[in-house]
Amino acid sequence: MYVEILKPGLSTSIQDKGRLGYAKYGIPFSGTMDRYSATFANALVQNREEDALMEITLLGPKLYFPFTTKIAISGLSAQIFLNDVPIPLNQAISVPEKSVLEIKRVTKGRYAYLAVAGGFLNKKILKSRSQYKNISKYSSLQKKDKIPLKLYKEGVFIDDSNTKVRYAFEKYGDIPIEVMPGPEFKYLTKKDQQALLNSSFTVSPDSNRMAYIFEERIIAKTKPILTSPVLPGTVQLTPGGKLITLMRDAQVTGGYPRVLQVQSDSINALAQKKAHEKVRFISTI
Amino acid sequence: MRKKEFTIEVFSDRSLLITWEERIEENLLDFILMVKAELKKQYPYNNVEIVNTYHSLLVTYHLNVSLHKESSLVEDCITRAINKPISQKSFVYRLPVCYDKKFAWDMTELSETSQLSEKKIIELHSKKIYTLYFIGFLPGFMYLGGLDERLYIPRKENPRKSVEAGAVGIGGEQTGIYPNDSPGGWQLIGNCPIPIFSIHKDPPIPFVAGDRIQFYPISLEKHEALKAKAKEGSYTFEKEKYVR
Repeated sequence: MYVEILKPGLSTSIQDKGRLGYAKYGIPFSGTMDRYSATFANALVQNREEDALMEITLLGPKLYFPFTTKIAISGLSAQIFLNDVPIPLNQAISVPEKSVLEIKRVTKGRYAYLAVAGGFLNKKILKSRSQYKNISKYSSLQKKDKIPLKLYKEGVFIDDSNTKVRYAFEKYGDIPIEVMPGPEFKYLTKKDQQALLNSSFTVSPDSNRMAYIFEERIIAKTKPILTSPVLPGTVQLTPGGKLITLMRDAQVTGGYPRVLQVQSDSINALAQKKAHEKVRFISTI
Repeated sequence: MRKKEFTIEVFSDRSLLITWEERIEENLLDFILMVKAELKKQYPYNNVEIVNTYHSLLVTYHLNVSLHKESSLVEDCITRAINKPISQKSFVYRLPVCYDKKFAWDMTELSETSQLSEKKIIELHSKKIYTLYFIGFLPGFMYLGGLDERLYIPRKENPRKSVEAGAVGIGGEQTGIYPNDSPGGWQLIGNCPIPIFSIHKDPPIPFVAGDRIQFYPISLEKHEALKAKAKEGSYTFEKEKYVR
């Protein structure tokens, strides 16, 4: 039982809740960029929260399912076709055998998540199925890859056809990203602190799973620091005034001042911002 | 050492940061590692991740907790560590390095900058016992302290697009080994034939913060022999208990 990649798309990878317990060896957490959407897709096919999903970036893959199974794709908006027929997001769907699933474009947001009953069963490396450069052979799925799946049996699922669940669109869109001050925030002048919290920033096209970069610069006097711990959501300010928000594939230590820390839920919202979109921060403390 | 002077702050909604005075010092590292050991006893599972750097410890909870409550538990761990004599169980690992021209692409530059002969550079680089402060930046990338000042050299102005795994180099005041093929700006002076980082092993790197690393020079022939041996999987690093 497997699914075959006919076309990999722009950057499609398998991700789970991440590679936990290895930060002390310099290994990033990785895992799904938008945890809320991933959890939602898994729940729709009655998976566990830790089951691995396919993370789809902007231009999606074309997949071949030789056997029947159940899937759900979550996200803000996307064009999806099952055997050339459009199908909706955020709802469980039965896939007949010998089906072709094509996720053409993610039209709102950056990421969509494909969950399949039982989760994707690619090999675990250091206790996680998340793909990451230097740990897995490739950081994204390749053409002709065959990813093992669990054999799907009709009837093992609880009948939830009458259950109504709603994707929380209000968690995304034009809402401020909640932050708290980082360890070096206090060394900024009041004026620079205000600039950081009251400006709006544009997501740069250089942004990726490792970090989101903003186009505007904040030229502020900062104190250089010794290499120190960082986390996904840590906003670093470089001496050149560049703002770098670390994301799921971030390194575990960094040498730039940590001026802000994005709250866990807001990392999901930030993850869905595309290049050229605007971001505002709001301090929760 | 002012080990009693520290701050505990909320770093994210899931983590606490403990910071001591900013400095790179073996005594501070030893104490931080004792605190880390106490924290590990408090939180023995993988859902609490503890990372140290030169002067801080980050405790990350991969679960919902009250950080206020955890903060006092963390403080208790520090108090316990303060009341214990400094003790450490670490190893010194001896790593073979081939300083042959085949790998030492920047040896001539280092020799010119430092005004030292290549022989002297090799002697200075392999005599020192380096302290592994922590692993960060890239999977398996060791932050080693203790490089001889005469070997300090700025990073390359234009980093190389690709540096081979095992490459041994100097960047500023640091020396170390590239754990994987990657772009890199360090001045290269040698190569270690034994992979220090392998995803097929768990843990993927045998060394932990607080261990010591010493390099010893080997010939090109020995490098090839050891590389072949490592490929078969029949190589373990020489190590012994480290006593300061």
